[in-house]
Amino acid sequence: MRRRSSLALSGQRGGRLIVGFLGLVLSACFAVGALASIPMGWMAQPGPGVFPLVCAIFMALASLGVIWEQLRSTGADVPINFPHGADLRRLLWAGAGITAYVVLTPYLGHLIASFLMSVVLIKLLRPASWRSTLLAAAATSVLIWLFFAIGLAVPLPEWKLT
Amino acid sequence: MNPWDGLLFGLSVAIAPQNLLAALVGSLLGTAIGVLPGLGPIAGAAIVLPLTFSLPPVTGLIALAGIFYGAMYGGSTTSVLVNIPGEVASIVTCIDGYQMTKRGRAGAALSIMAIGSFVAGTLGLIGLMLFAPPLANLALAFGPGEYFSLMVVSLLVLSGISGGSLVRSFFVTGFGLLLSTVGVEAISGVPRYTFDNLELARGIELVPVAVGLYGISEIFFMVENLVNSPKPQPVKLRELLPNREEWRRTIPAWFRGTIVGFLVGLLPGPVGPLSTFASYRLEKAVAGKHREEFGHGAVEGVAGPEAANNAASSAAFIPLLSLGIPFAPILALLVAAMLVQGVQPGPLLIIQHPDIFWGVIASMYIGNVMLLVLNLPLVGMWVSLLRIPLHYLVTGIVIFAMIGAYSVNNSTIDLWVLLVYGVIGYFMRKLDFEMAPLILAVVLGPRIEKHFREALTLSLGDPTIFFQSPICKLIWLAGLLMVGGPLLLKLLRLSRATKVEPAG
Repeated sequence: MRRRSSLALSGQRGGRLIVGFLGLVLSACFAVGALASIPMGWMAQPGPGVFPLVCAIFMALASLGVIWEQLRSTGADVPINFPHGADLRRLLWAGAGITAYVVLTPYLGHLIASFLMSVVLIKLLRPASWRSTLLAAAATSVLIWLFFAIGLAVPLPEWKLT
Repeated sequence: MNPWDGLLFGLSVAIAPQNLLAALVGSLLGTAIGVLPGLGPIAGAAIVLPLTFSLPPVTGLIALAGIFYGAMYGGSTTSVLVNIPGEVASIVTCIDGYQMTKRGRAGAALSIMAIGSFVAGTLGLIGLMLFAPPLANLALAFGPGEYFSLMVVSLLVLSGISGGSLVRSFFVTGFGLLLSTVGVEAISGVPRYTFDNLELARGIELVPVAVGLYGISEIFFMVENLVNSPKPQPVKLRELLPNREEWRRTIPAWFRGTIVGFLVGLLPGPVGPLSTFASYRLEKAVAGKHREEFGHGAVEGVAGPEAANNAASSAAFIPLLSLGIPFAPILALLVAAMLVQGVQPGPLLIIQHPDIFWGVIASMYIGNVMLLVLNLPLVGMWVSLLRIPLHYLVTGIVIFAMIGAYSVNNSTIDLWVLLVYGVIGYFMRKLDFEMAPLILAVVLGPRIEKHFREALTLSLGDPTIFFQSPICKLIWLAGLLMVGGPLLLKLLRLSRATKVEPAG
């Protein structure tokens, strides 16, 4: 008889278990939302609530399947290759830079927000002086803005603080 | 209109200056997307998608189709020269293509790849031209029950053959279907899961989801691993011609690859990688005395998979143009583009919009010629794209992605969707979840719902409508065989192995 390996939350198996439980919660939310506030209609004329409910049931079953698969898995758990140290810091800074762009764009407009994000990303990925980083960021953001906003006349978010 | 008249009509559409330009720009952009690390064809096409909304439908679709097959060409160039596949379908080309480069045959490998892609792409298009119209005619007999069955089975089959675990793929499919229900419901106008937010009422857009999952998550990986592309050696024009022995072994491999690729291309799923792996295995099986060369620079290992990849790309358009059902994420973007332009994909496309149906097919012939003529002489230029420093590449891709996501609806909520799906995509990849079913479920979800409700209304609430007609039965049976067949084989093999294994 094969011995079932111990369940550790640090590897892929643990991660997938968490995802499975999140899926269950999500499907419960969608099912409750459908039952509580969307008309269901009747069998011969299904309302807009039926399909979300069916999808939520499918999702719940798939989530249970993911949980079951992880619990009955007998092989060695594969570690999740998450970054550490400098790699993790770089990833978090990049994430912060992109998030800052998303948060600031509605207020500062695309050009300034993209310049600020470029400063973060370029400084992260290239060891250079601040002056050179600022110049590179300005060149990148302005050239792309010129291409889209002026060249292709794509409407981009503008400064809203005045 | 018979196929040849259709092709002539399509050529008259495709040679209009703006359509020629769209094919050229699309295929060049696709090649660049294929060459550049970090921007796969799905994210690349998704970013460009909103820019095509202001073009006439046929022009926009020609540009998007160009990106699709251009990326197939470009992805393989980096496989051969620097052992980095530009996209998943080019992984197989790395095996022998890069070995040929190490032996000083990079030019020959590039020619075999480019001419093979052209030959297979063109033959695949002939297949598309011949098979898509009859299939569209057949699909005219489909009612909502048949469409519902076909779309559900396509999603299930995609989940079954997209690799990895079946339940995880079902999980991703379910997640995509749930997402597709957010927003104002099309038939009744009832808001669903919008929390009184006007921007959410429009629903979750495909573009930010696709760019987030494929583009932003890749950026996170690039930043995390900080891998700079290796600098390739230049390839001289006079080195591009294969020698006589290479020609002799290449031509049959092209044709075998074309047949394999075309057949695989008709399946729902990741047809690119599936076709290249299937072709590589076939080439190895029929190689005879050259079998030892595989893995060390066998020309068949480049010729077969490259032809298969391009034939599969053409064949994948058959279900799209005849049934309106995308079997791959990038084709789902084409459906999204059609819907935004007010063009209903499906069997009536050939009747209602023959300019789109035949124009796109004809433009693909032209695009293939353009790629062949431009790609080999310009190989140095494509390779020079790899010299773009990582900090400019990452910054540029992120800004392009943001602009692409924003410009779908000029809505900043799409930027949040992009970011959230970037993070979700990052974790999905870390935990080995397939992403393709999510994209397809988001696109097919509303259409599955529409047919589901129509069918039940038509049958006065009798759910057997989904299984009653011979077409429905055939569709479910095919789905059962495709999803259940491999599972059954696996179980049989397991039970046989257990019987053979000695006790103790």
